[in-house]
Amino acid sequence: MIHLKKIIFSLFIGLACSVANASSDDEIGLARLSSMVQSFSILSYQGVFVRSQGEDMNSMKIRHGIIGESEYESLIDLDGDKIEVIRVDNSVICVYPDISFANTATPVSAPLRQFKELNGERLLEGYSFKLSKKKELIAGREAEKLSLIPKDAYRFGHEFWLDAENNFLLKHDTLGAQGKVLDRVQFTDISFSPALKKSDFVPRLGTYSRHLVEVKPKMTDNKWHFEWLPDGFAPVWRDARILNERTAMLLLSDGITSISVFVEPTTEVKPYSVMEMGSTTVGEVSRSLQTDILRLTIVGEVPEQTVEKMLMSFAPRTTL
Amino acid sequence: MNTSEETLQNERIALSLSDLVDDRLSTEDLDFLLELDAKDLDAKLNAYAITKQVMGNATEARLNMAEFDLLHRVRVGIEDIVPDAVDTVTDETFEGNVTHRDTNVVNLMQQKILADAKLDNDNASEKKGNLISMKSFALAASVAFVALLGGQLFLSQDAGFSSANLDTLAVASVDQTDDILASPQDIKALSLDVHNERLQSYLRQHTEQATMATGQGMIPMARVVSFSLEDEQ
Repeated sequence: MIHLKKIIFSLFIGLACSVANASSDDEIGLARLSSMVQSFSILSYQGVFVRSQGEDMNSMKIRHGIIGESEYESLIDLDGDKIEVIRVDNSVICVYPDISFANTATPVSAPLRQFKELNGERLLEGYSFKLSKKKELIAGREAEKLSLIPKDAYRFGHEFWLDAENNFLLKHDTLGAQGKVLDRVQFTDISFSPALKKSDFVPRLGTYSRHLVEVKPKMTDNKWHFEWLPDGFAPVWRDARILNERTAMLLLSDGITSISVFVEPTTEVKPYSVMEMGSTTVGEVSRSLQTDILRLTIVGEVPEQTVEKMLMSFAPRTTL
Repeated sequence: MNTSEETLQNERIALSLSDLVDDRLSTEDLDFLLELDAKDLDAKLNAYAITKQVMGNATEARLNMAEFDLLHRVRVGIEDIVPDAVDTVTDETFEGNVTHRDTNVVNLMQQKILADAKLDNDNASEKKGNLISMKSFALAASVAFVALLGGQLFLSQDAGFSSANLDTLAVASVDQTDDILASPQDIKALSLDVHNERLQSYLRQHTEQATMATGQGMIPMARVVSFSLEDEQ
């Protein structure tokens, strides 16, 4: 625990120096948020969380521990067919109920290492922080609510309930403009002394496991840019990622929210269309840009107006 | 006109119609046919006018305009001479008489109607664009999105055109067909499948890559796992 406090303190000092203009609340909020991110990899925990969107909800069991010199982690769906993802350091396997299930399911191909360092400056461009000192009980643990209040209408708000003792994330709400909860993740049970063993991360008997191989993505020059972006949003990748022969993908983030942009040639100009699912917005338009007609699709956890404005401000770079 | 004159005229009509079909119709015979047609048209219009005058506005009389169509009359004439020769012409010419043997035409019609309807909708809703494809995608996306992400879909209400309208249009266009290989729903689904797959692929890519930026351990992976689960179902 002393070690954890040192980490939190050093993160606090580091972030405070890097964001000299931040208010006291912002500095404390950033430090707590950074500590939350760290807690996912340095703590041992075992718990069940519920993910809800609208009237639908699903529960997942998560386990994480440092056993020997290795980091073990697993996630299992409790409501569906009990598909499980197990990670041991950089090795990830996906466990299916049987081989036929594995052959029909779309393979999981998420990045094996999902953590990235928080970018305090970007976050402060888009959000102000407010930490409530009022203690609330989440999953039987005392928690403090950290609010990320959007500074404009181009992003959603976030509320994180952090464990008062170790800053672990116990609950996360994504809030719409009127404070409506669009997405929620909440632990219903959590233990930070789970006494995990290696055998806890061995696939169950009778299941079928498939090793996930992270394929190095093909990249290409990013030939486009946005004439307008919400404050704090910037490309995560310097180049564009090639998905197939026709489609390139750009990824942007403000430090906590991601926006994906897909670009591909098409033959006809089509007007803007949009769909919203919880906090996720999908917008699309086909536009004539220079000599080409391009279909632009944006997927992100941002309001519809952000997607629309970004689509209309997309333009080819004049110089690379 | 006595019986022999009538017979002669009928024979000439038959020969003229046959020449018309064979593309050997002389100018004289063409004038003859048109004159007959005009006489017949006059007679029917006169009869219609008298009928309408008698019945006044109380009853709405309807004419079968097809009977006034020269092509229709040619078809009837040929049918009198060579009954079996007509079907081919019918199926390829008259949309209103589409039979089960010509599903390709039906399909083309449906596709055109769907395309036209979609184009109209595109033009009508410049601001929000059309949500026909997105709505279809929403249904398909529910496959990928509902379970773990939860799947409450909020479609914009101002699209002004729904897939139900589209269905009605398509059904109305083919209501005389008995045995259509592909239903309007099937065609719509087929035409949008590629679109849906593409959008779902983008949604998946976004979800997978976004896990990098959240800093919440494996929690965001719940979304990715959900894609696999729902794809299987």
